[in-house]
Amino acid sequence: MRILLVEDDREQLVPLHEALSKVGHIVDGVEDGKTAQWLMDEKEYNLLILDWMLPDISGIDLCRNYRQSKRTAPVLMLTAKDTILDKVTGLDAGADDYLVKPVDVMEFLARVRALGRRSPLWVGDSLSLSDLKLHLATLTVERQHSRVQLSSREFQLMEYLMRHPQQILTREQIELSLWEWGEEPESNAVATLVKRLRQRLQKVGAEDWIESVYGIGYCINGPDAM
Amino acid sequence: MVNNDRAVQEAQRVQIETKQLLTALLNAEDNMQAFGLTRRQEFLDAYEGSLAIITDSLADLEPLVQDNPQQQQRLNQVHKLVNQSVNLLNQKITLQQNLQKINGREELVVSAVLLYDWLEDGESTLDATHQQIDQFAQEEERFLEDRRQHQESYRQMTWGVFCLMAIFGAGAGLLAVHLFRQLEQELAAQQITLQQTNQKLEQACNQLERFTANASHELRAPLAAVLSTAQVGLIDPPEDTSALRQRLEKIVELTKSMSTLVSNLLFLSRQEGSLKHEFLQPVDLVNLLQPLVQEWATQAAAKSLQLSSQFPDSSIKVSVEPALLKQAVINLLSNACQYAPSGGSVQLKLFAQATQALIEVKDNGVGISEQDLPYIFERFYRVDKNRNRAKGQFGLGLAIAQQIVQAHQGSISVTSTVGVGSTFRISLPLVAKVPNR
Repeated sequence: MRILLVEDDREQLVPLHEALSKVGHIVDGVEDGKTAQWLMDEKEYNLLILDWMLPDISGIDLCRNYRQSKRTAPVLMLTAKDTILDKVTGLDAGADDYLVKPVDVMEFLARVRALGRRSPLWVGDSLSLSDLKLHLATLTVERQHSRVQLSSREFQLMEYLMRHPQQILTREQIELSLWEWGEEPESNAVATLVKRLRQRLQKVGAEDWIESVYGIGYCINGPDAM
Repeated sequence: MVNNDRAVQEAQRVQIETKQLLTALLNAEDNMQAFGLTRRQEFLDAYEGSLAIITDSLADLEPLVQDNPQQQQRLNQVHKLVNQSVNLLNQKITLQQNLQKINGREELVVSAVLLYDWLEDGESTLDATHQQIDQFAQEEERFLEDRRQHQESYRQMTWGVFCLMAIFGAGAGLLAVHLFRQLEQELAAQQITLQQTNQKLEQACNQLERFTANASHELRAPLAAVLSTAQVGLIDPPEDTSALRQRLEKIVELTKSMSTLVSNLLFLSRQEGSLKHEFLQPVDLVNLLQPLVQEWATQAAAKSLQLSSQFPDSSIKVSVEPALLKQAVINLLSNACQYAPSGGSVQLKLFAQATQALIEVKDNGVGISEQDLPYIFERFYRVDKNRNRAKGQFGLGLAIAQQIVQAHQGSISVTSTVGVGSTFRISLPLVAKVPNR
């Protein structure tokens, strides 16, 4: 999932960012309300995780603004404000879930998965293409009783390709969707990543499923289409 | 009052009746004489009518003088005399009638002189009766006059009482209005006091609310960071020891900072109120603060700040807990160094006025806006909300400094101009002015 994580305390932002990336999410982590507002307006996210007390624009206002612009992605409030009134205010502002800090990372990730299941795009715990299965929870590829573990980066590419099967995805599209905001991918970064993913897929005999379309981008196809 | 009125009315009626009686008696006499002279039946009839009036008047008078024994006596006298007179008159009439009968038969002529004398006979009795009636009437007149005077004086008295009551009533009314006004004013004053108290309470309440919210936020933040850093470390593959080491270092750093925060908070809650006398000792502020200049010189230099100082030649004696007071000045210096721009200046100045020792810390930093000034000594209050939490800065420094100074019976104040800089001033009572403390 593409997630916007807003937290003004760097000490808290970094570990949560890492935890979310490790389980395969692409996370834009920002530390102030203004930037968060701009990103929310500019990009599409599958989930928003907002701290309440933020510089410039509070998390509550971000949430309200987001809902007022008729966007439906789930919002998770993650804050130190712990009174009943705070929780009611947060949920009434349009949040789908409310977690009080300090939060257990395991619970946090479970909540994120739960909110992911609420997305209209959710298709279950795995994506399938022909006889190949990508397990979203474990970041593994399975085909004909053999399994291979992907790194989070490889998984993100594989997920993106498999959500758009038999479509040519340009390098820019891949960069935009896989690289976090503010991160500048190197010119051959996509090619390198594709190469690494193909190596992994070799273990399930699917190394040639990702097709290079010269000068444009990449496309994933099952054996039946070839 | 009512009795008196009735008495006056009765007296008036007595007068009327008496007059009537007298008139009737005179009429009876006249008629009797006229009958004697003329022998005409109409005079006799009138005479009879007068007698009836006399009887009625006497009967009417009886109950009217019931409550006046003297008059009753007189009336009895009148009664007796009237009866005598009436008897006399009756006799004369009877005599004349008999005479008429005789005369009728024999045409006997009686000389006019003889008849006149006869008629004049008994005149003394009638006069006595008249006199008695007059006396009675006069007596009643006097009595009436008395009563009238009584009535008048009663009226005057009543008027007097009424006027007095009216004056008293008006006075009471005015007093009531005055008291009511006073009560109203008091109520209004009380309401204002209540409102002020309410406002103060509300302010205190809001401040407490802000503090609680801030404290929970500030305490939870490092806890949350420690917890998630540790848990992410547990997710890491165990062979990645360098990442693990980094995370452990981060946790140590976070825990230390949190420990500082907790000690600061504990300090604030423990040091509330004045310091006990046994903790205080006479200290020369020059000796106490001069070492700070050297200690802070290196820190200032690291930020390319100019740290200058100004101390008096003579000593300045105050009664303080030296470590605490030093901490207060350090907090001010730390603040100044944080907010002064790179290349700016910070000045520490110590001087004495009549009864006060004054410590000034001046910077040429960004300054503090007017709307922030009232709150800067509040716990966790941060002027620059955009600024990320600097290391070890929780927004408690000024609150602690203020508390320390107040515990020494001193005061702390600030003047600031945005874009020019801020000056914090600690003022402490000089030791000479606080003997036996």
